[in-house]
Amino acid sequence: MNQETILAPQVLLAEVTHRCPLQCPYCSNPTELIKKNVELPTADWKRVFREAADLGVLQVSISGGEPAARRDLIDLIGAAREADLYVNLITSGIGITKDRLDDLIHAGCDHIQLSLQDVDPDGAKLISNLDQSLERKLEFARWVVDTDVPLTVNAVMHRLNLDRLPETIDLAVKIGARRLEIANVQYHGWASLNKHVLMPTQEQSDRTNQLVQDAREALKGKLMIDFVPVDHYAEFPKSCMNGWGRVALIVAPDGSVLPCHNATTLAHLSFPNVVDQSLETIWYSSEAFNAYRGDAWMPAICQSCDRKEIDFGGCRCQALAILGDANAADPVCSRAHPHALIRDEQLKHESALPDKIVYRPNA
Amino acid sequence: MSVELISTSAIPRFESGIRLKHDAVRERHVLLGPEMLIELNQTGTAIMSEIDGHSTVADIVGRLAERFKVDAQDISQDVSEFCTSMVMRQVLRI
Repeated sequence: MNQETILAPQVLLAEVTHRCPLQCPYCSNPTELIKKNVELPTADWKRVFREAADLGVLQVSISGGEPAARRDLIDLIGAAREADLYVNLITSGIGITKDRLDDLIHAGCDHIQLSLQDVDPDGAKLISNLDQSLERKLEFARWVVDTDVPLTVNAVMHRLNLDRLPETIDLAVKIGARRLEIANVQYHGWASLNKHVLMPTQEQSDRTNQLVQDAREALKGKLMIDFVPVDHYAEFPKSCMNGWGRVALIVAPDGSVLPCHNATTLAHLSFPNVVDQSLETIWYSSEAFNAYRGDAWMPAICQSCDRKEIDFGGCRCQALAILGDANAADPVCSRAHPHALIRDEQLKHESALPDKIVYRPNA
Repeated sequence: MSVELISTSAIPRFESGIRLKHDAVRERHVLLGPEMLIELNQTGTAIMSEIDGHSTVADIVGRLAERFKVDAQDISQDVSEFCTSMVMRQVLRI
């Protein structure tokens, strides 16, 4: 792909740390967590935000781990806002006092997204492996709603809490969230180690789709609902990251730049670092970002498919993980894989009994 | 789906957390909000630039008519429809 046909990025995910007080077994961080001693210092993040804005990025999501684990979070938010980015803070709410929240907002935080593990306190404890996590989150949510900053609740759903989806939607309304993301677990990284516990049943998945549709209709104008269905039950692949190197880039805590959360599982690619190169060079010219742009890399069945401009070939990490070939058609795709590989894979887990949960460590 | 238009005496305001921004790289104006990016055309930009939290829809129509040398009656419906759609999308509130 030549440089003229590469679109400028719109979204930066700044994973400022992998440290987190929670230990959710579906964490989107890689299973190899990046340590505190190699995290980028404040000055480098400030430069990343400026370079991103110059490159065309409009929104930054400051995320983790738990971003509040960084003592310089207020400076980071201030720098992102100063670069005129729209600043989303993606947080567990744990470790942010009311005073610190006020300072974060004063520094320029535009929107807060709060993760929710479960509306049931025991369920929340089971997933987060942290006592009182639900109670502390609800207190944080109240503080946010008392300010003028919009609150999104991000409810991650799986076999253990999907039956409480109606209560989850009710809670989002009750606490005054503007948006609710109902996000089924994506089975990569930590989540793939916990498929045996988390993978919902087909019946749960079907019920969820109907419930979400009804709730959207009933709550129109009151609560916006975004929905990520269970990937494994879909007919077609999701448009992973809206296409590889098309819209978004992720900067990991150590400064490495990734096209998606799990890209490091693609061991044949090496990922550039903001310490060595500008974001511009990385976005337009690096081998890693060009690897799955366009359609030249696609198998013939995808190249001739009318959906290639919709899903951009789907998920490369899933192709590698399940089919052993990062260039293969996404295993979810029913056109490329009429024998429903992924359903077999899924049913295996659905029938397995939940046993021990593999938690991610705090650091 | 038919939607009731907001009244011309309504005062549209930006919903909290919504920003109108000039996107210099792509030479356009955009609305930014929670997980939201709305690209505006020239008309949309002109209308959104007039939202100041004091002016009614009728005031905005009047100013746009003057600025673009058109008859207010000819654009009133379009401005109301645009503002209504922005309220539906939680960009504006009244």
